[in-house]
Amino acid sequence: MFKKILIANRGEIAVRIINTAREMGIKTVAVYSDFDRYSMYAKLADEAYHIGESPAAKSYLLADRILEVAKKSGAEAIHPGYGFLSERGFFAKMCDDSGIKFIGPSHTAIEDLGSKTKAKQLAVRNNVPVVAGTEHAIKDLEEAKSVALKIGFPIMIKASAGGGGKGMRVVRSVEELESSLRMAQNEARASFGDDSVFIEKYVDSPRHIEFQILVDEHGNAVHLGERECSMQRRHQKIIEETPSSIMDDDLRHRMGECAKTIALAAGYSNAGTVEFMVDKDKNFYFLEVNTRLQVEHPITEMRTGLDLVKEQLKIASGEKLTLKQEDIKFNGAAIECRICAEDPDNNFLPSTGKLTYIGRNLGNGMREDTGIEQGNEISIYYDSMIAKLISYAPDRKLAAEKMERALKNYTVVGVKTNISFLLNLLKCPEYLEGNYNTQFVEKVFLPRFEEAKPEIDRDTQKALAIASVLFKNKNEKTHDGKSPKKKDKKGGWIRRKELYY
Amino acid sequence: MNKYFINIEGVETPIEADIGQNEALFTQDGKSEFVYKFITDDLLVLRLNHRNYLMKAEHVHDSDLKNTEFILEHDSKAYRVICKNELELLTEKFAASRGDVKIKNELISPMPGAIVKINVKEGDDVKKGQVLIVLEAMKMENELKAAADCKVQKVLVEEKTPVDKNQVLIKFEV
Repeated sequence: MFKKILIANRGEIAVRIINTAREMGIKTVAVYSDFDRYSMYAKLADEAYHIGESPAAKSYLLADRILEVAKKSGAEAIHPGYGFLSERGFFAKMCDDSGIKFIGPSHTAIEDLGSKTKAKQLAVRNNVPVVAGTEHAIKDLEEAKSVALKIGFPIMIKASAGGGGKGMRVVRSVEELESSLRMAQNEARASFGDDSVFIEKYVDSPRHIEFQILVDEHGNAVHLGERECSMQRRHQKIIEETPSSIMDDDLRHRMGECAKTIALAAGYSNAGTVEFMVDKDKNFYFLEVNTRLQVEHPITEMRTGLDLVKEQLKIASGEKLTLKQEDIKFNGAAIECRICAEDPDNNFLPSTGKLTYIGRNLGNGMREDTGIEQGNEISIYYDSMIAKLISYAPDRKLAAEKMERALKNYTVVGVKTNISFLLNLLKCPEYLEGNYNTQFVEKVFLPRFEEAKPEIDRDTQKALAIASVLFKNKNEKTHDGKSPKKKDKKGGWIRRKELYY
Repeated sequence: MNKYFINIEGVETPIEADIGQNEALFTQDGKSEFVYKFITDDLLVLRLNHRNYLMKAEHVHDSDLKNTEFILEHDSKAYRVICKNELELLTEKFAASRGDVKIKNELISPMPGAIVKINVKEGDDVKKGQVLIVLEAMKMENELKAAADCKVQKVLVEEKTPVDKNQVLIKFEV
């Protein structure tokens, strides 16, 4: 096993990795930008090295500089976390060339699975179901037309190098085809520097279900069940859960086996996630492989009792998987909510600022993964996630109740958050019944959410009235310049003197 | 005790009350006692008739709101509350009688970022909710929409250029 590893990431995932490494007696090396000098993870690691300015392009994406730190600090391996350099084949290759172990798959597996057309060809060759369409880049409009007519409208045009919804277009008729093709190619060129696109059948309102896999470097693979990730807005996941309410043992077995097949065929190793679309009739289609640890990995950990980072480290150090598929037991239900600094009432604009107060009371059955402390700032440089809350209980309903309680007890001052949005989502009938797909949030829930007005009982009205006066008076005192900002006398409850009698 | 006039969004009847340090006299329903403690400048625990309220205020330091408008959050729900004292109410009535009403006629950048796309040009009529500008910040593309029906007077920025927080992006005709 490694004695020291470097974590080429920041925030909650760096904290997550440091914690497991520490349990295993492995020393950790953090790298930080100007902004992260005293961030939680940089303080928590055994060593921390400055690598550049706050923008990621000038720090966390600088492969050379990170490798230099790895060598200087004597780290034997690099954990890339998620995002940043985690799915960049060239970085895995650079690690190899420097004799430092990349904790993840080989660079060839990253590159082969990173290209959607290559991954799809691989699936087809191995009898894994895919959505009908082309397996290679479309040459011209003529070819696009003949393919579209063969598989039937609606179709989807997708960038080969795509991700995050960019370069994707739904086309419903042959008349729209020419302009949509051109636009998708332009977007693809602008976003990824590669304008190759392919065409596939458009599956209406699918679910997004992904399978966690573990593959060692000796050709052994297990799957750790599914994660239901259909609660999305603009391809950003909001709530993830496992099990999926549509899953049964047979479907889980078939999808899990397909996930393992793809991974083994690609020569994959380490932890990975195989994404599928599932339609209304429970037909599933391979989408892509994420060649890294996922944000939502904790729900799988809760339900299987495994520590995925520990498994990653064991695999990377060359150990064989000791687990067999029949050893993997699924118990209970787990839900993850991402608390983000954003404003649901204002088109989910990210909200920046200093977190002057964070109050939480997680209690029974809850886990929080975070890299943020009270007094920290949410900046424009990185994503807006404050914390991930994960609830775990014997069944889905109990897990949702725990999540609701924990979210209500979570208070953030200084930035706007999506907490009330998450609470509303958890309480809506479609969620409670497990009856939702990837279109639900944008097409059904948000229009309804925007209309909803809270009803206010008389006591709460009075409390709001009094609170507004108290804030008003405090503001006048603190900001009119006459009386300097001062703390409440004695720091206790402010009461009328008479009440002490 | 001072008199206050309070309007809560979604509540029809305005609340009128004399509110002091630990006592409130509501014109409609009489006296209530309360205790409170500020946890931060923006967070308040209020205990009214033994019921606990954790109240969070947003933008309390925003000078545009002139210390009369408050966004208060309680139990994960946000409420817009207008709270005025007698003097403020009088001043407002006077201003209104002179027709001194200010309309926001600018689109302002809510955060630093880069302009990805501008959807309008000078002279365009825009509808409420229409996307005017796409701003990239924090790895996300954010749509800035029109707050009301209006006409574009001038676009002050260009695509692919960085902008600061509170920078004026578009001017509208009033």
